[in-house]
Amino acid sequence: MSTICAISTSLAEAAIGIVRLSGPASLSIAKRIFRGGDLEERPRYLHYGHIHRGEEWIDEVLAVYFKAPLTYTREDMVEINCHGGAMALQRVLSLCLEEGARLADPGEFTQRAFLNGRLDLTQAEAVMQLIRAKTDLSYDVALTHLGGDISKKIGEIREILLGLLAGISLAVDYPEEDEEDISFESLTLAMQRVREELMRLLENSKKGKLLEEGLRTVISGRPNVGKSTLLNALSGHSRAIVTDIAGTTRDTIEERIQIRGLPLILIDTAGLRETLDPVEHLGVERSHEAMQRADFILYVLSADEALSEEDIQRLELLKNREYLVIVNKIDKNISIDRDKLNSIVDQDKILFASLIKEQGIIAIEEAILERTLGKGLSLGEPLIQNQRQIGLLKEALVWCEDALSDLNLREAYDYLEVNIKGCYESLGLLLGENNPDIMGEVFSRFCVGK
Amino acid sequence: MNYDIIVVGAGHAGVEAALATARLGNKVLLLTMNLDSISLLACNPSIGGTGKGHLVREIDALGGEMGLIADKVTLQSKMLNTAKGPAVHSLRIQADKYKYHQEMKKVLEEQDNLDLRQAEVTELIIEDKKAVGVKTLGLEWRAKAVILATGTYLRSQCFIGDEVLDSGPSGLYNSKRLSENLEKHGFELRRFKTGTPARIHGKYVNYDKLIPQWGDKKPIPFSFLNDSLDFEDTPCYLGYSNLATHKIIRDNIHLSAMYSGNIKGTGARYCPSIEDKINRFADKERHQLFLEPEGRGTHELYVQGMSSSLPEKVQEEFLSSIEGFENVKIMRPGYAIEYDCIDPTILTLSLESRDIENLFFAGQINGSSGYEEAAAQGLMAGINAHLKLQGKDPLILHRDQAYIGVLVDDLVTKGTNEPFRMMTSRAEYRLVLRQDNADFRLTGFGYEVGLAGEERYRLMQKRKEDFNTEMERLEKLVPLSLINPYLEEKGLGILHSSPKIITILRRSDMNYQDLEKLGLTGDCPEDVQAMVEIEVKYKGYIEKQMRQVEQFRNLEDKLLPRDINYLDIDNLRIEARQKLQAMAPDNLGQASRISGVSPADITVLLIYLEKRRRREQTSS
Repeated sequence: MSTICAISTSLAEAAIGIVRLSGPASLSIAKRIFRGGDLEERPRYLHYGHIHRGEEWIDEVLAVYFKAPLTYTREDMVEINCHGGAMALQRVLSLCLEEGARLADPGEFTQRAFLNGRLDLTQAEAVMQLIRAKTDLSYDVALTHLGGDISKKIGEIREILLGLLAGISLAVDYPEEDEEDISFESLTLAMQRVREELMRLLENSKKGKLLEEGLRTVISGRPNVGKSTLLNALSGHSRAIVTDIAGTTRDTIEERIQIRGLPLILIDTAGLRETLDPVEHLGVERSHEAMQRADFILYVLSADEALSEEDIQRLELLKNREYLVIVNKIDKNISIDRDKLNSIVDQDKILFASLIKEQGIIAIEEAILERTLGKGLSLGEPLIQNQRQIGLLKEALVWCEDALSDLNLREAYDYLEVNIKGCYESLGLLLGENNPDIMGEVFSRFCVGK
Repeated sequence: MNYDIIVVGAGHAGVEAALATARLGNKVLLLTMNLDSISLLACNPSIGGTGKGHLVREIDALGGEMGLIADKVTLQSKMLNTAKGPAVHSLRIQADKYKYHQEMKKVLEEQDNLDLRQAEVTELIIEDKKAVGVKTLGLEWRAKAVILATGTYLRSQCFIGDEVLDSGPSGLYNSKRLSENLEKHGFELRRFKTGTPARIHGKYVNYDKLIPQWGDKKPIPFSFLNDSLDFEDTPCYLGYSNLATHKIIRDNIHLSAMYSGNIKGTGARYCPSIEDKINRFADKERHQLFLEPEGRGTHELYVQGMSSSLPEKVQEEFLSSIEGFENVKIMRPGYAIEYDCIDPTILTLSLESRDIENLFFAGQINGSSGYEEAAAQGLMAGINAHLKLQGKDPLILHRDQAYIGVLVDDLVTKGTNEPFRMMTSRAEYRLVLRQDNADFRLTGFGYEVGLAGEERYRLMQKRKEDFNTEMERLEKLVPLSLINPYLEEKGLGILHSSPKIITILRRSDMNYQDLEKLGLTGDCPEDVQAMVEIEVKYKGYIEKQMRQVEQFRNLEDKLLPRDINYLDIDNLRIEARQKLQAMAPDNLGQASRISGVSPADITVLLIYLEKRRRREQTSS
């Protein structure tokens, strides 16, 4: 029996959400990603801890383990209460999938509950209706979500794969025909192209998620450089303020804005030091955490102050991140050492502004768009957003990689076909169609048969 | 006279059905329109090939006859695809067409409980929706079950140019009254079409201009009962058509029966006539052909690749334009043949009619094509007719167990729009469905049914033991002092800790020949060594496939009771309700393969089954 997982709370703008696992591997998966209390030792107890992906910190959570059979599905279950909003939920879910869980089908928890005898007979009808409704809905949603472009793109990739399958099928089913067997070279070239296309789709899917969930953007910098002014300026400037959430758990200020369609979750760490001064240490740590989890960082400097050691250290830490440096207060006396700044930060990442005078804000917005969407992504390119679709895309990529390594080893057609077909079928699930007509393809392309 | 089982037709399906049922202790009557055309190789004089070779091995593993006869009449034997991976290794022989018929006829004659008789069946006797016998011209025969294996003889017509012959294949009689009778009983008949090339006289072929094709030096028998084969290797010859040939065909294509509109039946894409090939692939400059011997006692040759329904004169003309065929003499012209068959989706997985009990269908009447496909169905129909009469559950081979399972499931569940041919690409789990392990997969079933005898079972057990012993032996460690010099000599990197033999064998740069040079082989027979090597080298792939099989099994093992009224299950979509009601699938897996049944419908059925189970539990 497989282990399934899903986000079981609404993805709407709630501060807390739950990722739920059910099945024999629930506990082992949870143990691999959760650092905190001993789930197994104390089941049915809410443990405080953190979700990690290797060394990467993902979210601060509360997790609980329910031991079979006294659970909703009568299987082992784990529930992880995440605090970090939609993005964190998605990340925790992705992590569970990476660790071997399968994304639950719509209504599958309930289905398992029923099949395992948890629900009584009178509920069966209701369960069937629920599953019917949910499944139909999700198929509709899946179809509408997969825009014409993306279907077309995936269709093209499948076309390539089908051609390869037909070539292999020709070679094995018609060994004595007057047609040349498909070569390892052409198979390799084609699969490399498939890999490239899949990777591009996946890369874009990350951007797609950004569009759906918002770019987590942390405003950082020493006190009194103008962080709050930046927050206000950006949100004041944006036409659509979605909501503002005063975070209750982390004492950061979050604000949702949009810059020309790109949703941003602005996180101002400004308040940390000032309001939490008595617990200075904790404040620094939290600010650091927020930076860690950010997709994007706006680091604010003040033009009328020299670069401090702290600034230099922090800017060094940003080296491998997506960020911009905003030199505020250029209307004042310039005492910042620009050469020194240039030696630490690429010039095109440095912007000058006088936020209080509303100067340079548009340039900042432009730069944010440029740095996030601009990189390899125009909004016209296909995006895959939904977790299930991303999962299938990743699966297709794994098959593709396996096929390439087989090709490298010059494995026989027989074995090659397994992985190429797997790739084809994963993509088929994405489009909701399968059953390749390989033979049809063979007969339409090649002149074979006695 | 009363029988247990009557088999109609003594082609490849009929003879397997008759032999299986008689061997299982039933009193069997086998009726054929012509005793001289028993097991006729009406098209290619060859048995096996890709996918088909697997079927023959499986038929043999279950206790069928085809492989044994093929081994007796081999003119040439070849393992195809040896470089393309072990799952697609396919055995094919050239067979002596006349001896094949003779040997099979003799086996039938010598079989206890089996009466062989020439007669045309004109009617089925059906009482209370049960098949209870057949009528022939002037006689009535009663039985508890009837197996129809009529091949291409139902209302068949042959086409040569604009000539339409009212006949079966090769000038044999056809049967019209049985077609009419089947329609009277409510069976909808369809028209399928196939074709065959001319046979030419071997004395007038210039072999110097053709390329001889010899068989394998060490031929492997089809039957697991045979260790080796003894026959004189006989060549086939490879030749090519040319632009002149194509011009002749193109200039006369309007005279071909295929293009004149006379033929209404659906042909198979994998069996195109030369007219088709030239029409559809106009830019090909040549098409290949193989000359295959029809038998040792004849000069007749089969011209594989040149199937045609052009007028005889044009056939002669285009053949004579081929290099080596300058003096060609046709002995029998090629022709297209059209015949009645049923839509196999009216059958259960045991090949029984869903509407008329104890009436089984096998072979080309089910829309398949090919000797091996027919024989496989005949064997399964025979076994299942027997089990039915015994009141036992049918033997259903699943897609993960046998090509036969794929064949039957494809026909019965998906149906077919053209004559259905087995191909290795139809089998999803082909890494586990290899021709070398057919006995491991199936002899147990054959033995349990009572068809595969003691000897066959013992041989399979022996091979299994040898296999296990060898796998154990491979766990032994090899000293570095032995392996490293060998690796160095081959220019390969040396090892730092003693490997197991299995680790050496698993390497892509090592095989049993290397083990032999190292003195690391045991006393394991060669055929088993070959299996061991496959299992060891491709463990990863095989395990991957086994996991897929496991998932597949989940649904396959959930049986759907016969009495479900799908129309009453509200949560199924209307289309699914209707399809399921009409097809009455055996299990959830089969249901999931019916077109128009969605994953959500399967989930609904899963819940419905559980609900039903609990109801039954509480009421009992």
